[in-house]
Amino acid sequence: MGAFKEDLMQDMQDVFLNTEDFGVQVTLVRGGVEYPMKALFDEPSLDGAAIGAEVQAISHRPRLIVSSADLPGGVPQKGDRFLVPESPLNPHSGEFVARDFIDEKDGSVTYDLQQELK
Amino acid sequence: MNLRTNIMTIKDIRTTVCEKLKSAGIPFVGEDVFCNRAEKAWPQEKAFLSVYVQQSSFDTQDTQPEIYRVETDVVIDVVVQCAQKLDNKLYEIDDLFDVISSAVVDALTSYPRPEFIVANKVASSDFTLKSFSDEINGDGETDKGTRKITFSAVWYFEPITRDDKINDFETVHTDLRSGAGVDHVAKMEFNTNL
Repeated sequence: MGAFKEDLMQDMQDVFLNTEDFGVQVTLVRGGVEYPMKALFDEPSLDGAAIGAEVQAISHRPRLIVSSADLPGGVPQKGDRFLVPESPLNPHSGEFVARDFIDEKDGSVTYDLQQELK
Repeated sequence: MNLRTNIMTIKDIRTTVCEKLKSAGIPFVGEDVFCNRAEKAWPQEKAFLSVYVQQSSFDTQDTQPEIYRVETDVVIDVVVQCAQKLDNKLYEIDDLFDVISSAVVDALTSYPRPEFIVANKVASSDFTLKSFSDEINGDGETDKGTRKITFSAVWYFEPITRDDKINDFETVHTDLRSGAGVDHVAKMEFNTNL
């Protein structure tokens, strides 16, 4: 079982989060300490963002998928801050703050992010 | 004579308010003022104004072929997305609403009353602030929201020639004096000259 779990985590690092493919190297800042890790970053669009005006807002939900083993203590935390670098796959770089997260219990954690002003 | 129709009047009023707000140099907004905007707001746009007219009441067109007086609701949507920095000071969405909307209100209601030129004519207007209503949405990559500012405005156009000789035809001069009283009842005398 232990070996299977290790294999799974290794697969996640080598295949799923591979920075030669779709992975990006990001930096988690928690409590002033920086933790580099690999992640998947995307921004699916958010339909119907009503803002009370005659016009609707176009908006997206930036999210980050990381391996829970890379997180300090293995746990995600509210207020985690990520530095996402610019890349050809991801022109939307910058500093993001975790607004919510889903701990999938399969070794991955999905963060719901909001952009911080630079 | 160039008769002003209802629809063109409303369009002219909207455009005029837009131009007035553009030239007012509203902080964080600048030239980003739109009339009846239908295009969705991109997150990169940050802050802009949308101007539209909700309800209008005109002169009765049966007796008044050209419009002289129009009452309208003028609505300014202050759309704000994402906090912004100015002079190293961070303005959160709430602050942006306050800064922008107070500049908007000042631009439209300050004393002396701003002069509005509609279709090359001066149309004096009387803007009265009626209401604010805020809606904020925290979904997506930025906080965003709208402050809807509603004004009621009265517009006077000038189809009537302000000419003394013509105006004389419309004036009735009435002299009023007390006459001789009879049996303790005061007597008033009127003399009307057309």
